[in-house]
Amino acid sequence: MNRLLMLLWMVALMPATLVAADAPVRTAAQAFAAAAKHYSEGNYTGAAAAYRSLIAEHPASAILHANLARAAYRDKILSEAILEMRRAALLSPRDPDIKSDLTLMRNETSDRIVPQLGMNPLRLASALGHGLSEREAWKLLIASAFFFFTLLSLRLYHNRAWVGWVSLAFGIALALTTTILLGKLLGTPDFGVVKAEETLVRSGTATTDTVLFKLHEGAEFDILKTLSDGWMKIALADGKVGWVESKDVVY
Amino acid sequence: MHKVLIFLVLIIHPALALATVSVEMTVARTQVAMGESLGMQVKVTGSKSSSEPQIGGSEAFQITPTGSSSQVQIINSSMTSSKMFQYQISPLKTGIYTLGPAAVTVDGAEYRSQPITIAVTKEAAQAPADPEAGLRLELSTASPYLHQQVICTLRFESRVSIANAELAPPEFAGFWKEQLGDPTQYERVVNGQQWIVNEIKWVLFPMRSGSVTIPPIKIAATVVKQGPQRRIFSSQPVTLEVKDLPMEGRPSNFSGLVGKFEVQERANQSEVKVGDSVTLTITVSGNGNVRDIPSPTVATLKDFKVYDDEPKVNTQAGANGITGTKIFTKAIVPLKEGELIIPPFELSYFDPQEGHYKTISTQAVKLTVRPSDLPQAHTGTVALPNGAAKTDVTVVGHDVMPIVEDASLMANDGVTFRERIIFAFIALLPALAALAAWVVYRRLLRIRSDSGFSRRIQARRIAQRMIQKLSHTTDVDFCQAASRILKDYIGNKFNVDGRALTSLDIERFFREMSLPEATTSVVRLLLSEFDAGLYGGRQIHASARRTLTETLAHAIDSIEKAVGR
Repeated sequence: MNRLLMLLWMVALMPATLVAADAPVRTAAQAFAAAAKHYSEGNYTGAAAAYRSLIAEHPASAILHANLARAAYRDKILSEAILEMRRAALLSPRDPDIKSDLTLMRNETSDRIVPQLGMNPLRLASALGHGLSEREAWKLLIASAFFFFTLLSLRLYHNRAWVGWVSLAFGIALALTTTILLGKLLGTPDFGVVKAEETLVRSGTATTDTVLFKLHEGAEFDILKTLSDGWMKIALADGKVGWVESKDVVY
Repeated sequence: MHKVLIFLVLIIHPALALATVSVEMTVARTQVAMGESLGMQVKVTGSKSSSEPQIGGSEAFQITPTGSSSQVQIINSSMTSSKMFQYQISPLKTGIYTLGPAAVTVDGAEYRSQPITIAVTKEAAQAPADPEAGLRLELSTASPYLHQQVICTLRFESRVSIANAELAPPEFAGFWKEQLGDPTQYERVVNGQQWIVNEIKWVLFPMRSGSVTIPPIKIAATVVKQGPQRRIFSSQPVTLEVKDLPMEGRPSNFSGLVGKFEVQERANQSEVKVGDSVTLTITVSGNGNVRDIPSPTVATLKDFKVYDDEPKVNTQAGANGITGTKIFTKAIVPLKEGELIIPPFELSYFDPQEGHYKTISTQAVKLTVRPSDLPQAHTGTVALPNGAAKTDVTVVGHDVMPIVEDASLMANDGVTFRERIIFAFIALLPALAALAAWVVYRRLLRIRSDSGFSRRIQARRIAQRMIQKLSHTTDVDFCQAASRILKDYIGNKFNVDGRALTSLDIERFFREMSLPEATTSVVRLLLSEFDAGLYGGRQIHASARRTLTETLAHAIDSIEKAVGR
């Protein structure tokens, strides 16, 4: 009798369990559709808020970051638009729509910053793999490692000239992809965007320190250091370095 | 030498050098307040021997000559002479007056300039609060539309002597800016005190709607008053409320053009053969963002092919901001004969004064198209006419791409830390496999080149296999087999003929290899037992055979450990 009751109880719970298991998936899809609906109705603030919530759950989706950037752009929040579109570009670097939108948004900023690549080997390596996402770099690394070491092993037993040349080619590919991956893992600093209409970049972390230069809304920078007292050390792509108040930027 | 000759010829024959004489009268501003003065210039081009200009309509102004200068330029063997007369004018009464024309006499002929309309207003605003100098920023409107031009005037007014003034160039964030002409200087009188006004103007085009603030503009200057004193003068911040362009009534071909414009067209001929081109020149002129004027559009041109030339832009900076013209040249090639109509080209813009959109259009052009001399011309295969060059793609609007609405594309494009570990492990696997392959290769290589190595590494395995078969043997067979196993093992291990070994040989080997004495003793004992059973007729019972077998296995293990592989 007890077994029968338990069986009935389990059968009764099954639909609820199935619904509960399916709930997060449907909620994400529904939230995505709701955000798109806000956007199509011209409620860009609502759309941006919905995309932000989705990104909190799916932080590595290029499409969510790109959609948030577009909603923010339409909502006239240029700083968030550029920041999110850069994040989308990092995740999906060859997406033509993302590249086009990022260019459009950057054209609306007023600060002209001419990038200087410098001689930092990790930055150079990161620039080398500009068109690859980290996932793609890993796949290339695994593929080149497989072919290189397989050919190297084959060369022990089948020492022909062509095997040597092909293994050399894959060896170069392996070195290249390793460099690119290291650049992506170690040479891609955190970045931020100025959200204030104008912000002063100073030589130190006090408002009495010398103003080195001014940045305006939409200006992009790399973050070198973040302090808990509301200051941030930043570097521009042209090499300028200074301290800026965190309240004036998004990152 | 060649240039010298040309110069001499021009000197000897002035008539050759006589260019067309023209007179141009310009003023720094077309609006002036009572008490202010402004500079005026009359430039006579084509002669440096003109008479003093006679300025008409001067009853409303006091005109004071301030100097004149002559100039001769020789560029590419072409000589141009000019004479410049400069004046300072002060208004005598308020109202709108026409000044000029300026008339000069050159070689008995009279030449006149265009007149200028000047608005004279009441006395200008009060003097700056600072008794020495002040900086003031004024805008033509505080609530412009998006892309509407706003004239921004910065006036630095001083009552004392000022030197080494340095203006930090304003950035005007949120605007596209262009300076209107050179800075000007004039005087004005406020409350009986004379002020020197240095004025600089920009035209600003708001690039975003909403509240936009122009921060204070600063000038550092040395005030010379009982000794020099460096001071910084600052204007007040000014906030504009930039209005969005209305959606209502926005034409489909509207590109963002804001201002006031008109359009004219001209066709260079009205009769043409099929395949030949007619040049249609469309001139759009007006006041606003002239450089952004898009090419006028036409609904359909099915009987023609159109080749656009590079448009030409001509702008002037004046009191009303930027005015100018943009000339679009289109080579239009008719594809069939008959009486054809080039339909009107249209252009839409937003008029900020009237607050609504306007569409202006050219007149339709009637063309008489005769048959071509070339039989294939009407097929549509036409040659690119002379002068019709390809043009850059005209950008007429900016917007982001549509959002992605397919939730299934919401993939994880990033790499988590766990995935990185997995990827790194997978990437290492081929390297480990290659290392293993190398070890095997080296082993096989040694086996091939060193027969003793092969025997040595297999000695124990062979011995263990043989020991397992000992349990099936009888007394004599046991001793014989066990003795053979031990000797074969030692022979294999030391790469010698094991069966020929005596106890003494084995002891010598073990000493040379520095094996423990205990191991040597056990081996010696085993050999002695086996010999006793084999040659001495000793009975070895099953229990003793098991003990000897275990001892043999242990002895082999001991040798293995001591010698190593």
